[in-house]
Amino acid sequence: MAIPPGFGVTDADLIEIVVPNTLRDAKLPEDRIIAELAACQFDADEIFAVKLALEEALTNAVKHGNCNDPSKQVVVRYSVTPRRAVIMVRDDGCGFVPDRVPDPTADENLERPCGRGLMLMRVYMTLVSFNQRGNEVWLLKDRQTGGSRPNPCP
Amino acid sequence: MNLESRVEGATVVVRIAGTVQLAEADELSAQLPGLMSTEATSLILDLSDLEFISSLGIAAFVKVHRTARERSGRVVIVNPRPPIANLLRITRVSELLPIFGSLEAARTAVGN
Repeated sequence: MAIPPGFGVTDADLIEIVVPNTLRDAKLPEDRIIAELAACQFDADEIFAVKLALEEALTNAVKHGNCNDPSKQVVVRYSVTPRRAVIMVRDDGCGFVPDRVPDPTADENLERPCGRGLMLMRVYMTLVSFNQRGNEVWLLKDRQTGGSRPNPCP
Repeated sequence: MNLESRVEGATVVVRIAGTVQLAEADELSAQLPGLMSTEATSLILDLSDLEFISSLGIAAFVKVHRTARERSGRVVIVNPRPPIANLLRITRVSELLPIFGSLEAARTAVGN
């Protein structure tokens, strides 16, 4: 439950959304976060990156963490400011060990349909962190732009 | 997501437009293999108007690539937008499903 170091937010900064464990329901937090990114004038490449990483995290939670069980829930907490986007996605599962996920770009894994999500989160986000259990992922997108005291988003 | 297809000889040209978001990727995965037939065993995926796809959608491409190969066909990609092309290159999926800049070049590649 603790916010990992380096994410630059406190509990008070975070908005929480809890949805049933289906990909259709997971669209709600995604759409809200993307709308906030647009309101904070993130550019198209930044929005693509955050949307991609968020979908990977939500997909992992719904399909792998919660095993497509619609009686379970996915918890999303987020904070979007002109300077950064912080998102947490947590499932009810028993977690996994990220370092044991095979490299999806290795020759022998190229034709595997699954396994690209974790790599894409790491490529497209500034920082990715998992809790020890492995059922909670934190994503940070730090922007290059933004003044020292950015205005709040509309 | 908007998906349209047309058969051109032994090839099916599939135009995927808009965003393939979350549950839509499962729909894409279910639909793509069904577009092939005993006569049309290759696919050209026209991604000119595709704005977003995640690894779930990419998985659908990889699955249909494997299905096509089992039927002696091929799957190739045409004209993806830069963010999508970059995603396909980062994952090295572009090495399984080659990217072409025009439908003509893709038709030639699949031998249609």
